[in-house]
Amino acid sequence: MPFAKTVSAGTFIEREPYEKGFTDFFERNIKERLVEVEKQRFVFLDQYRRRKKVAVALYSAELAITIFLFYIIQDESVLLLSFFVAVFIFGWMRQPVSKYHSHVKEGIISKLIKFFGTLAFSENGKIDGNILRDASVTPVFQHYTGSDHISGEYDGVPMEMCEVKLENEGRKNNKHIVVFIGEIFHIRLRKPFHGRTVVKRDGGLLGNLLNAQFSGSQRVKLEDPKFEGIFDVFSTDQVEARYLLTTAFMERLLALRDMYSKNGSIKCEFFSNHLFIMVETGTNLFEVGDIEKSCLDTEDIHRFLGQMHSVFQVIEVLKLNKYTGL
Amino acid sequence: MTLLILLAILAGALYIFYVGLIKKRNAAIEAFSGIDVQLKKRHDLIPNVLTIAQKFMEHEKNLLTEITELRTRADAKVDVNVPEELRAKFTAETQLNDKLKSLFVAVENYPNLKSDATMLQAQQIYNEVEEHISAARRFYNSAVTELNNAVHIFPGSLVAAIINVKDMPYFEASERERKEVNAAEILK
Repeated sequence: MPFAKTVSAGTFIEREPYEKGFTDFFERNIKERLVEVEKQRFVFLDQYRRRKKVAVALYSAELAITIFLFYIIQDESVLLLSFFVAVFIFGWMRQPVSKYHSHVKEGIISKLIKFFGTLAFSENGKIDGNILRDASVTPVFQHYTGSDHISGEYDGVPMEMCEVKLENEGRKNNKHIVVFIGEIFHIRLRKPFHGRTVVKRDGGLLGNLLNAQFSGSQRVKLEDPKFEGIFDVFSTDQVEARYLLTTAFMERLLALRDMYSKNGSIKCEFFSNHLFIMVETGTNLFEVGDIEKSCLDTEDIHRFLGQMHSVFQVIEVLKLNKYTGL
Repeated sequence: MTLLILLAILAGALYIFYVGLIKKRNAAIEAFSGIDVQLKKRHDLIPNVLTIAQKFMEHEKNLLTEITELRTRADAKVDVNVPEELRAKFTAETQLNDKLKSLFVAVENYPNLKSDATMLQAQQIYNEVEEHISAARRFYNSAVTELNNAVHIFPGSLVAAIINVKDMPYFEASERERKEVNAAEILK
């Protein structure tokens, strides 16, 4: 019986300045939930292991039937049917894992984000697609899927973030081509910007020339050699670009890149009253909880707090919560 | 024939340098106008600050008078083609900013003024204006570096001397601004 196991969560030890006060928060809001989720994990794990055994038997039987039918009928549709049956079996086998992931997200992440402010979590929510289309850093896309949507206010600044997959249809066939997979942050600013400022990965001399030519913006040369070596900045307003890209902001953006995607790319754009940050991670950020691993380990929580802190640092450094009318 | 080709190449090269210099000078002038817009915001803020301050700061009359005088000096029109005039303007602006900073430090000694809502708002706007000025200054200095490099390096220096394009002065931060360190940032 899975419930017979004794489960208890340890104590959260604060390591970073931004984790200050989290131990109390953890004791009050998270610890109990973690224990519940861990108990649920045993149930789901038990289901998953049993289904795995059944799935292996089903796959073997399916393979035998497929070979037999194909030998008799000699029709390719048998292989196609076999493929769909295999996918169905796989989905059925993985169902407890998916359920466990949802449980972790709804049960823990939705509680964790409350530490930072009035934020809400929705596993199936996403950023409005029209806003994504308005941003020039977003690649051209026809299909948009979003998940793990966090929205609300941080320090009085409305913000949202979600995992995004953007796809295009191939020219010759209808096969979907992934053009972006990662995390998108959308911060709604109180200060409206007059120009459009884009920060993207260094595209080299030719890339910069073409970029400036087609976007109607100018290249902004900044003083920080480390930042200049990694990013290129284009803007329709040179002064505004420098107002936004202070040394502190450049440091925060580099920290954000290091925190989310050291090898991937990070792009950001300021336009009208929006700040867009796109981090290409190539994987799902909130795919926490390997079902085989205990969820009581606080390492994932440390990582999550660090990632959220990096985003909020950007808000703080830009003083996006202060509006003086300038 | 060879001489003609060489002369054509030379004329072409000189023309390219000429175009480059003019473009860089215009970019620096455009950047200066960007600073001017931001400095105007600082100047516009001063009368409001002084009006509030005069009510409370009787012992700082000298400082208030100095600020008024410096504002008038800094507000004077300048010819962007005359480096000395630009230098004088930047010096006046730097002094004005130093005095304004001293004023805001002195405000700390007047509790009534310090907690005055209008003064608090003025200080917030002043900080914001200074950030805009700093951004405009970075753009201006970047444009001036490109112009000055072109003016000082041969054969650009030769073309610059012929067409009378002069280098432009940098708008540098004052010693006081450079020394100011945000302790909160360091301790983070």
